Amino acid sequence: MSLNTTSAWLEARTSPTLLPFFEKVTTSDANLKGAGGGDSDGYPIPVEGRLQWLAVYDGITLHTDSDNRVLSAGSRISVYADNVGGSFTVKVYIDGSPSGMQVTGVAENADLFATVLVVLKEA
Amino acid sequence: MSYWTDTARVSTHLSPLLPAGGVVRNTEIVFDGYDDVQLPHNNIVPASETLGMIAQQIPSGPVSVTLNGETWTAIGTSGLAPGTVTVASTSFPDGWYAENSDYAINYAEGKLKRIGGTTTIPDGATVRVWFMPYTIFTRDVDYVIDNDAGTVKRVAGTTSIPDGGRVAASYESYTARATSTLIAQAITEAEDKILARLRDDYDSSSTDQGLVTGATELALSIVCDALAASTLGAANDPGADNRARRYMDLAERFEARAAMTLSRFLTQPVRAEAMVRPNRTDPRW
Repeated sequence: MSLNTTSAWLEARTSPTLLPFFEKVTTSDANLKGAGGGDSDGYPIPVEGRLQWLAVYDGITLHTDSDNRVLSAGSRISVYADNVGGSFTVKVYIDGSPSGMQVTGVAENADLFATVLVVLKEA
Repeated sequence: MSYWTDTARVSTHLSPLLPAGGVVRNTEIVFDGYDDVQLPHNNIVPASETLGMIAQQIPSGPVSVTLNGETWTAIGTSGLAPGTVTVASTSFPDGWYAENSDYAINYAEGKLKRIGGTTTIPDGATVRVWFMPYTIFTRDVDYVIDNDAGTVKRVAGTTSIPDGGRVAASYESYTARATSTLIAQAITEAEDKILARLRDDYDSSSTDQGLVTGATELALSIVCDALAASTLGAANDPGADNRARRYMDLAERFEARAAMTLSRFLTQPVRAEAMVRPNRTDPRW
């Protein structure tokens, strides 16, 4: 926490949030399901935020990627497993398009647990 | 009117004896109604004090400011509370910049500029600024101050300082102070003493250097006595007793020196009544 009172106040107005996704994959492309079983189009983020972290566990290896991508209020988050022949590249999508945040070498025929970290700004 | 010495001459000898005062920054005081509030020190240097406070709970901003070169650029508000300014590249905010490395701030005027050589802010970039405004109160409108006593109080009817308000006070205090009024009075008293015992072949129009020197020394003795007395009354000054004792020693030395310097101009001193007392080698007035 910053000793600058204004910076501390600004930091306190943001909060990290974890979005979990899951899918039993075989060898075909697949959308990972989020809370309530939804997939494909994506979960809306109600306020401005930042996409900062993707972690995928395939039962053998933890795969991670980090960045600081802008999320506008209303952006929709989804996770997609793209089979590239022998493994998956798991990608975070924003509004149905790849965000650039992804992990590679994810195992086929596995239970994929994925978490996406977003930092949200207080409305 | 002085005959032999003057304020400037006495002040010249006096200046090495007056140590620099202290500067106090942002000491908190709390006003209670219209009662006097004691600052941590007395003998405040006139017009050296500032009283201010942060009057809001939430920072203002973000304000967008474009920084070109190393030009000071106003953010639109003067009077910023030190340590409360945050500058970032976005309004989220992210891409935070560091004060004294990336940018410099003029808190009083509310201005910002890039620091050449160390800044990571691109030339011509627009940054976002958050801050807490700082209200500086006006002497004789919001408060009055007694410099000698070191007290302040709110002014009924015109003050904007809230009752119970926590205010940051900054000021400069004298360690010891010899005003021109004190020096002038000391010269008057010293020269009167000399005139009372001046030999018939001298008068107030005499220009002998010995009279000038002696009058100066005697005036310095009187001033040092006054400094000793005022130093004893200094608040929150652990060195006051020792310093007062030194001023008293100086007063005695100046007095003895004056008596020796003036001895050839004066009639014999009146003898005291016979009494048992230790021998003294230094002449007394």
